[in-house]
Amino acid sequence: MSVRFDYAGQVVVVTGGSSGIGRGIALGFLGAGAKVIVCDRNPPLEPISAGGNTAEFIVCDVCELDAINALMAEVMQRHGRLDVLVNNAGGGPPVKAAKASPGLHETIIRLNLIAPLNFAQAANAIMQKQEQGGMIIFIGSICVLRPAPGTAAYSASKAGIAMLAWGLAQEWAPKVRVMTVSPGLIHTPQSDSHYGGKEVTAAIAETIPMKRMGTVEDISMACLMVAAPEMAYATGSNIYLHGGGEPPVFQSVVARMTRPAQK
Amino acid sequence: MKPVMSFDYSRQVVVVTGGTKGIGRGIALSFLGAGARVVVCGRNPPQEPLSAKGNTAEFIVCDVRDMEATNAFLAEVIARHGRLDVLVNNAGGSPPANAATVSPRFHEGIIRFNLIAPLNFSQAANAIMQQQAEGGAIIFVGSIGALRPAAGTAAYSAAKAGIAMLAWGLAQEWAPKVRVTTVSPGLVETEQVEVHYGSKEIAAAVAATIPMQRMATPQDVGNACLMLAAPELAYATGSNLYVHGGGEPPVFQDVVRRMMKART
Repeated sequence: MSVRFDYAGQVVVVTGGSSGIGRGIALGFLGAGAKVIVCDRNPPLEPISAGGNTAEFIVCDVCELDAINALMAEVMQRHGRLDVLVNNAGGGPPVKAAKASPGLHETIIRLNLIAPLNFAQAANAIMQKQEQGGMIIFIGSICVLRPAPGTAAYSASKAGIAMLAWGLAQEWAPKVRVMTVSPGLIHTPQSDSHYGGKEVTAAIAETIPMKRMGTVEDISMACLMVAAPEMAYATGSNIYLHGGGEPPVFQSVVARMTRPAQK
Repeated sequence: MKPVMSFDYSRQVVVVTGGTKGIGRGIALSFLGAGARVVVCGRNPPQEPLSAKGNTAEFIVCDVRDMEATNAFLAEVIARHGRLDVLVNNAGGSPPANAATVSPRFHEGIIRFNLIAPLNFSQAANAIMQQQAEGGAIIFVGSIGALRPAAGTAAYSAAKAGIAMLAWGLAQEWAPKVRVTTVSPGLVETEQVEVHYGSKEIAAAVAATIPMQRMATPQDVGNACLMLAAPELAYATGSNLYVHGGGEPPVFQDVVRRMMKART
């Protein structure tokens, strides 16, 4: 390790922190000595711990404003402060934009754009009163850079997140800093079934310049770095963890179709 | 403020182009503070030695626009240290240029200095880094000019917009061994700030328009370089990180505020 963190004494909330990327982010901050609270609709399958430091769990549906306010009140009652909020909860099933119900479309945008905005507003109200201010991280997506069929509403939400973070950074500076961390394709316990099997994920990984999918640790590391006060001046920015991004698909097609026939 | 993040670059060899003053000096100091062996190059030596925590940068003269000088410089770095872990392509800049009236030669000079020279330097660095087991990291210093031009900076901003795309493209070609990212500062307070903006008073008024209520320091940019060069952040290759203090709210808001104030 060439980098060390000391988040001792800091209180960190990770939304959607029970599994996947959120769990990885929680583990990163736990390992760095922070007091971590994860919220989600369901508790983690097993306690989230690193270095003898265990995350607290509070149930919360981030789409419910009352639930957000109750969660913040509980965090303040227990710990008296909030230093870092990671707006990680989000996601969406693949849906055809022509056929999805308006209700489903609205739900996708509520979960991925409106809920994190509401959460950030509640966190900012607390952080502005703290002498040290605070940090809000939005988890964006490579979908900020490009849509993919089946993700129109989701990608629109995530593109919105990057601009939202920048806008909030302008309004809430200098006390509260706001940034976006945008993962590319991430390997999680769910990703093999998401993409159709281990073989498929391996073939996808080959298309990425870094020759692998991202890991939850990649995202967690980026969150630890951008939340550090040493990076304060980067407020409003969006950093991609996409392993070099996605070369255009036509190149893969050309390579595949001109490859010499296998013996 | 208690430090939250600290880096250990001991035994790593870091080159900072244009590292004798301004932002480059700040970047060099950040890596020196993190224990790296730092070599700065420039057309002139630093006014005084660059040191942090008892660690002093070496200086080798090099005009980055001269390909032969670049090759000689990197050969000297390898002769002295045997390796190159991080290249920070910081050298660059331009005087304000009226795009309608400056000579084509002048325009070409701006683009050569800010886009072509860093590409050439990176190509030479990549050839070394690809042969190292640990690969390497190349950082381009971009600019908020990649987000928006400003009168007098058309060619410069085009070069800097090019830098962000260049870094992304090189990241794709040189992965996984060599990582390439861009750090794009906003307005930076260097020793030149009064010359650049006219006076201390004007610089302070400019700083007040930035959400963070201050200009960037060379150290802000240095911290970002420490972060992006870290192998722990390898998966960010190709990215461009703005260090702009929240960026620039649109000027119309400033006009409205000023004129409403004048009315009262």
